Amino acid sequence: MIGRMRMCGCLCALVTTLRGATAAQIVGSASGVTYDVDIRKATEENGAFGVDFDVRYDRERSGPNPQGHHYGLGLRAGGFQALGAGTGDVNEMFGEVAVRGRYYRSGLMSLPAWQQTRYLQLAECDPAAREPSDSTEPDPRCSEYTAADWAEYNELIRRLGKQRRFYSYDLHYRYESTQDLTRGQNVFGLGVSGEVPRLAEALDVIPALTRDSSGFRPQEVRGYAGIDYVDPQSDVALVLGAASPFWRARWEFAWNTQVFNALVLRATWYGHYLFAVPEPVKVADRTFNAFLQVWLNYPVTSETALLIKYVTGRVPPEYESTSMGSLGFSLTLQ
Amino acid sequence: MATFTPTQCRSLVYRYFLVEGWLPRGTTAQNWRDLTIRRMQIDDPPLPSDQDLQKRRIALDLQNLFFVLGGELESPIDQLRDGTLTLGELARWCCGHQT
Repeated sequence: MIGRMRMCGCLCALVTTLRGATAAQIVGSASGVTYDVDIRKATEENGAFGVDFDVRYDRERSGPNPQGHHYGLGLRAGGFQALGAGTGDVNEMFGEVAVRGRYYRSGLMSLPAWQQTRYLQLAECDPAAREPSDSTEPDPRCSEYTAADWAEYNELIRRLGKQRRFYSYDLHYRYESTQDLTRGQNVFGLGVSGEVPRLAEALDVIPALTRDSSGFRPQEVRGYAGIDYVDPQSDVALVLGAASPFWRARWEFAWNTQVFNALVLRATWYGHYLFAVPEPVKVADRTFNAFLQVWLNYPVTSETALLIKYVTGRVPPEYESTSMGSLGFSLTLQ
Repeated sequence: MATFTPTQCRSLVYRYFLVEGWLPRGTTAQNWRDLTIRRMQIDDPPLPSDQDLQKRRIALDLQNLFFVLGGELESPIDQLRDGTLTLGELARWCCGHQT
């Protein structure tokens, strides 16, 4: 836990936006509270400028051995407040309280004492770990280590990832409302998140062709799937006048990789499916709503970048079917 | 429980991020200390419903690495949320927060 107020994490980016890009961003954490404030245009075409914010507080119990289940509590508030004209979407603002569990298991278990001693000797001799200002002579025994010893040391770390099982699960209550908080819905649900094995390797086939070998390795696709019981307090625009409760499946996927050695390609796919919805929702074809976003920042100078973004699908808050490209310049001040 | 030296802490932190493939192009054994958390694109873009998924996994990995070597480390999850923190600072924090 960070014991002092820290206004670190402060990245300010100014973007000349054509559509749907971040205009300014402040992110950071202090005393367990993490905040992220964006000024941006709404995602949909001709969307209004607004403030996108997310503030969360998480506490989790953990013992000396991280393996196994751990539990914690999370509080979160967020939403999008359009400047000027608001939108009628009930998902625009939310508050959430969640009980979370984490399961972690690694193939690297406890080591015998002689192995611990050996690896710690290697760590002590690691040339990459020596302070540049350290002018003392290294331990003469360090020169005795061969490439095979260093490979064995790296293999120890590699074993962390072998047979690793890690996922997160939660029980949550959310209150979702319109921007002006006049209409809302109670949401009770549960969800599970984790890294999807193997999928990243398939997605990275083409990006990998654009870069030469380096230490970079694309990480797994992250995913969340949840089921919610949604109880609207009154007729809300999202479900076209239906105030009766319904079930909702929700999913989120996110991934990034590197292309052309230095550029970061990011992608997300968000969606939800409404079960047993009233007839007007079926007629309007609003039971399944999902959209894909893919974007890339191309650095022009050390402070400016060209932002290229593509969005397709049913984009909130209106959930109209959309396919559009975005282009903008960003200026980063730090 | 053993207490690791600053050199051992730096080595464990550096080797972890190296072997797990987080270090971007241009990172070397000489300049890794200056690399910020943000540049490694951890949880970028975030999952809206679990924004720290990878950071939590990394925090648990580091705790596990210290544990199997006979040490004990507080969770560095709050440090990993700080995008401006450098790997050198993270290694220093890990060394100072062995329990």
